[in-house]
Amino acid sequence: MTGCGCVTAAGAGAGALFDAWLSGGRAIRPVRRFDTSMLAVHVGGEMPDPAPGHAYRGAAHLDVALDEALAASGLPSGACVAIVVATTKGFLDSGRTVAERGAAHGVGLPGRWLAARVAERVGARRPDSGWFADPVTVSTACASGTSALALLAAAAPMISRQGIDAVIVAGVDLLSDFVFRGFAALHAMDSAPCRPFDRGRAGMTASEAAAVIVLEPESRARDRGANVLATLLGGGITNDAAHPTAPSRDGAGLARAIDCALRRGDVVAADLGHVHAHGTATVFNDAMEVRAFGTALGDAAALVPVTTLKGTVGHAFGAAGVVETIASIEAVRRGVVPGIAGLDDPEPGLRLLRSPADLRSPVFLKVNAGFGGFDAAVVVAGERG
Amino acid sequence: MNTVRASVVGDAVRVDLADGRDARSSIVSHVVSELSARLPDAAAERLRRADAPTRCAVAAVHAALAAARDDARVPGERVVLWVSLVGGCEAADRAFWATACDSGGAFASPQAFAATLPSALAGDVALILALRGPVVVATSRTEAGVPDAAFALAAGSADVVVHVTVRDADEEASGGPRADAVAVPVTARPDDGLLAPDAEAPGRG
Repeated sequence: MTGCGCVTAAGAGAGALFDAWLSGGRAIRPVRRFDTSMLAVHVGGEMPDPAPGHAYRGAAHLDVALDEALAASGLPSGACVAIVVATTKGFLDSGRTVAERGAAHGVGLPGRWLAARVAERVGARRPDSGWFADPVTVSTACASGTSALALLAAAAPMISRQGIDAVIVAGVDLLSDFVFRGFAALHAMDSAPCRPFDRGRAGMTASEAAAVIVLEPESRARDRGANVLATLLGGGITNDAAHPTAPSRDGAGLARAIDCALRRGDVVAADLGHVHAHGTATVFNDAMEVRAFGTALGDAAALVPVTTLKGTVGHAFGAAGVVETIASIEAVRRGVVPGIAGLDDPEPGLRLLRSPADLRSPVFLKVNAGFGGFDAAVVVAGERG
Repeated sequence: MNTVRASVVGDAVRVDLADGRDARSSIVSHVVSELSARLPDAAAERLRRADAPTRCAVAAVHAALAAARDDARVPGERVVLWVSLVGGCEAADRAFWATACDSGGAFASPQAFAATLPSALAGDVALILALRGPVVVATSRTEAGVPDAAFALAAGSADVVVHVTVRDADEEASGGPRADAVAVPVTARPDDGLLAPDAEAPGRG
């Protein structure tokens, strides 16, 4: 990984995101963009207003994230670049768009937009043939971002073989009246800012984000003198096959995904410096994760620091995996793992961080899960700054 | 195990083996009722409530997997399910928004909202058929045959890759729901006719 960029409720930039996370503060506020007066929940994690000049709000934010990631990576002009986008609803920004059947409706739109933008910015060319010749959209609910990274970890040899110089993986999802009303109907949201892994937790906080990571075959990146931020070691994807919207109670699906990621990454649980949990703060998700970590990490589960970003900026759905990976890469770079905002009374069994902890190891585990039983995990080795 | 293609068009199911030695046909309602009788209650109930595209996908994946497995025992953990969607999920979005646009969303339907995710169909297929291995929902306009990435995901952890292409629900009016599934044993990953681009199949262009 040679470049990262993002826009979240904490503002633009990976640095701003990490600073907000480390501070223990909240970027969760009353929703401004649409009316919530008929609902029981009124808070969310909104990105700042975008710069004008884009047809889609999501594109404006993705553009900012792309700029930051490309500047960091220094990707050479004319590189062969594949595009992978993780999203649940693409650039969908309003229920009105659904009624009008607007162009923003297509879930593949962010990928097509991003491909054109990357070509324009760095003169990138697409792979001539194969699965990556056109932009790819991965959509596995809230596990989309981590699924995309796990998939790319598995496909790394294939990517090198096909002469692809870099993969730009993006996560994007917007907070709209459409998704807000949906999660309100599911009674999945807390009326107060969320409290991941707290015994008194009462649901998630809906949020939005645009995030970009530039991935390159490691040898190629080092050969060209790129600043390597992190290395994607391995990934795992599984399915609970248990319930359409709820996680399995035993966490077995996520535990298998973690086990696969560790095995493929040639990492043992004791090597992990921290675990970046999904931590939506719903009663069932967090309980499931506690069990999954216990199963997959064994004795190390009680020792490895476990944290999550969601208490700071909320849950950015399909973009969450990419944003949270960026946050953890920044944590390794700065040598400190931030705690979980809103956590006062932790669930037992894990070393859940209420305050920042010194970094023990640059290797971290990132997991996400989603509706439909989707589970995904990646193991990443960050680079200390 | 065999490489198998199963196509569901409307209510017709056609299963072809890679070597051309067999071609079976059935109807979706028969496959579904036969399957329902063997499913746990929760999965059977989910199948009973499934919409037409999901029933098509279940029938296609089940038929392809059953023929590919032959007598071999392959647990659901050892199957990669790769779902390619053509288009988005506009019909589901409109159905949910019809319940959510008035009264500030106070009467929005949670079930209709869950169906608006592009991954909802894949989640249902996995639940109904107890497929606990890697399940990926992806779109790529140039996709031809089974994506290499699916085999990359299978390496060392799965025995069979099932790739199913499902036509967008909105296209039902122009030809009915359609699902095309190809089941390929990981050990036999041949570049045979079944894996080649098929101009007739939706989602391959």
